[in-house]
Amino acid sequence: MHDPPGSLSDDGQLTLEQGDSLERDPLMMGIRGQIRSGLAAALPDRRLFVLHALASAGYADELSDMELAEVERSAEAIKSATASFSALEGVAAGIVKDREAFITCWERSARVYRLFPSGVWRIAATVVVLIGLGVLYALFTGGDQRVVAVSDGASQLATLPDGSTVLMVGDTEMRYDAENFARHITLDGSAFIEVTRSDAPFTAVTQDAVVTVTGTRFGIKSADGVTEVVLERGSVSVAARPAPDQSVALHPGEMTSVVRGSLPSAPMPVDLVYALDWTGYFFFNATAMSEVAQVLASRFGIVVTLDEALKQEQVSGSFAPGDAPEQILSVLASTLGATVEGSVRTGFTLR
Amino acid sequence: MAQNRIDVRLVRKAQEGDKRAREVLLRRLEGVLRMFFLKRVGRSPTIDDLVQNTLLRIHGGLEVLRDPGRLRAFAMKAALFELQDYYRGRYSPKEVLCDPDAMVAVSSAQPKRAGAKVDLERALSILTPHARRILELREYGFRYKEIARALGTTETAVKMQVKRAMEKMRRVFAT
Repeated sequence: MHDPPGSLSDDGQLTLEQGDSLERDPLMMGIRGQIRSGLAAALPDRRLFVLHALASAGYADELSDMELAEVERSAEAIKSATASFSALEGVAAGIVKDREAFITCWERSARVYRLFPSGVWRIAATVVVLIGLGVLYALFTGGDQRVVAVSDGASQLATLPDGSTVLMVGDTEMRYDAENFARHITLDGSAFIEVTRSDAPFTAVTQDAVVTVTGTRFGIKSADGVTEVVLERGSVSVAARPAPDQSVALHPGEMTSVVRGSLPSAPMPVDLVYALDWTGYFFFNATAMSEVAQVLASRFGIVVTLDEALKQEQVSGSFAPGDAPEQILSVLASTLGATVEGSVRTGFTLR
Repeated sequence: MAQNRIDVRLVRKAQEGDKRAREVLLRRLEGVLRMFFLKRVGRSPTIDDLVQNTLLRIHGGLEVLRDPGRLRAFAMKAALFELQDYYRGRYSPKEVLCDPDAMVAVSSAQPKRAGAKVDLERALSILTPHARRILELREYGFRYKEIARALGTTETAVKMQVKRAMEKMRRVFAT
């Protein structure tokens, strides 16, 4: 998404308007400096804060006796720091999420190591594995297994060999054979997929479900034993992995979910504006302009004012994650025969 | 669990001074750490440093790990400590520029803002709790993108909050 004029870039510098510089403003520097020195004084040892966060979240058993004693000794100081800096509560929650991420990585790694058991079986197992690898090599001769991974909070658009695109959002991993691409991907995480039309079906496989399509756009989220599929356009069939022959068909604007070990739920209608909000796309389908204005205001942190006559007008269409609010409003205004005035800083008015 | 048995044996051997076991153990942990830091901070040249620093923490503390079966918790804490240090040091080059003491000098050189040091308390009181939380997270070491994720909003909205808060304070201080 483009930074609006006058906004802050990610490294903390402002995208400046003609010499204006909030980041270099002595007032801003002073406030930031004061908060930083206050934090440093209240929380001189972040290691202790990590231990507190873990203990408070019920993971005290992962702390050594010495660490538990440290936690007890510093309880008052941490309590005082959290009272002074309300953001620390959120930081502690983030530390617990970091712990969960680490455990996930550990377990994924463990799955690989379990291929190599200990003891006298090791040599025999290695031979078996080597034979297995040989078979796999024969199956995928010349194959080029690609793994595309996106970290938590980031997103990446990947284009597959058949031209289909996959917008991976958040902690997501996709695998496919780039050289002998048979329109088949495996996915762990969340993605919005736009499949090019072809007679050959396209399959997206998660740990729990198999989604088969021909040409379509859909969102898929796979985490913690649940896969959710939301269809934006076209048609898809969704099945649980253990029962690929018992699928449900989705129509645009419908969602189904597959809980591990269960059949897909009956399709249910959803509002795409909200059901696919996580993709960064905007999907409007006969959506009232008053609601469109609210969605844009919330997403971009801007003010959008509508002329009374425009509020009940309905619009349909989609906008990509990179589209700036000015662009979106210009297109909408043009569709409605209206004009748009203003900026991100002052707010927009459509009349 | 097979993995645990392997790790326990490796940890014990490494603790007893078996260099090969220590090397294998650290190499095994390196993969886990790389995956973890990739998830938390994304692709970045700093990943190598984070992994190496964490391995150093583990290497240095392995002897005091009384129960080798707790390797996972031990390594997890080392990674979390390293991540927190990374956040703290993220904006270190700017810390000099934003030093509150340096701020006094800047303030005194600008008569219109001469009261800035005294009024910083007042300035903070003008901030909404939400805006103050954003600034606190920022100074803790998070990027705006990460703050937005933590607060369940967009990066643009977070930046606009900061900008508006600063504008509001500037207006107040201008009067």
